[in-house]
Amino acid sequence: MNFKIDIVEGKQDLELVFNGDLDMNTIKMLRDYKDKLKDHSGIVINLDNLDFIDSTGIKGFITFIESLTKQNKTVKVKNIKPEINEIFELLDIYEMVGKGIFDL
Amino acid sequence: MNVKKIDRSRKFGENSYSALFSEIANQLSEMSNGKIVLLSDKDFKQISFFESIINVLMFPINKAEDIMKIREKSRIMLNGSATEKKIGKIILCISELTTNVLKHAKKGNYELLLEKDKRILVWVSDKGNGINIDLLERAFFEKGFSTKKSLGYGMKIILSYSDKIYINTDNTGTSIVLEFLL
Repeated sequence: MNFKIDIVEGKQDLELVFNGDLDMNTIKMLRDYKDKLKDHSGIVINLDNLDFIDSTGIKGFITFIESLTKQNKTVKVKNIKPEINEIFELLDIYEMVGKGIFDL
Repeated sequence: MNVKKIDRSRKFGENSYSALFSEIANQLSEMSNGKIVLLSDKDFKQISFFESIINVLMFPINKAEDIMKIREKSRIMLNGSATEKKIGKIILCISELTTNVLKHAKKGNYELLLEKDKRILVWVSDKGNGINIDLLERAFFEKGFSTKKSLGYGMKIILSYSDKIYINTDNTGTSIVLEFLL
């Protein structure tokens, strides 16, 4: 599957549901979404439907998170599947990004 | 990081390059407990990677969209040959290698070979400028090392998940074969 983000507007937070694969081809979509987000101070990224991510996808993902925190938004990442968790651990992503934003 | 590609054989003379090559090959083998095998053209061509082949998938690597197509077709071919978890790891390695071909050599070729109940081989090749063998150790073992704008973890992933890595590289191109034992 390609990649798609579903946006769910909550009262306070905006939830971004990631669907599909994040790789060299699809990370550019994250760049587009970066500017589409409304004035929500809280962003929740839901990885429940993220089927695949490689190191290029992770790099894009980290850059995306950093761009949000630079805008002073709080970011939470939830529903990390075991396979995704394994590669996050292998690459020390939790250390790199900071454990606080991950709902583990 | 801007890395200038030096044709070492020209600078140091063929004997010196050969000695350097052997030194690096030995180092890589030692550091990886024999997993990484750096091969000269002659040795690479002589390796018989498999005894019998059941299934082969070939696909060109020309653009970013090809990476996903390669993953999908590979998944279909590997279905049932190993556990889901293992197939997931192989697919990840495939994604890393094919991405590297695009990043470093603009285009190349992908082959997946399945020797039923024995092994899975992932073979990528390109006609790029080759990997600077001086940097191979850093690419595999140094956290976050990359000669391109990237996370620098591609090699670490394939080192973690594959059983053997065969590398043949020079300034006419690169071939990397990953072996996964079943």
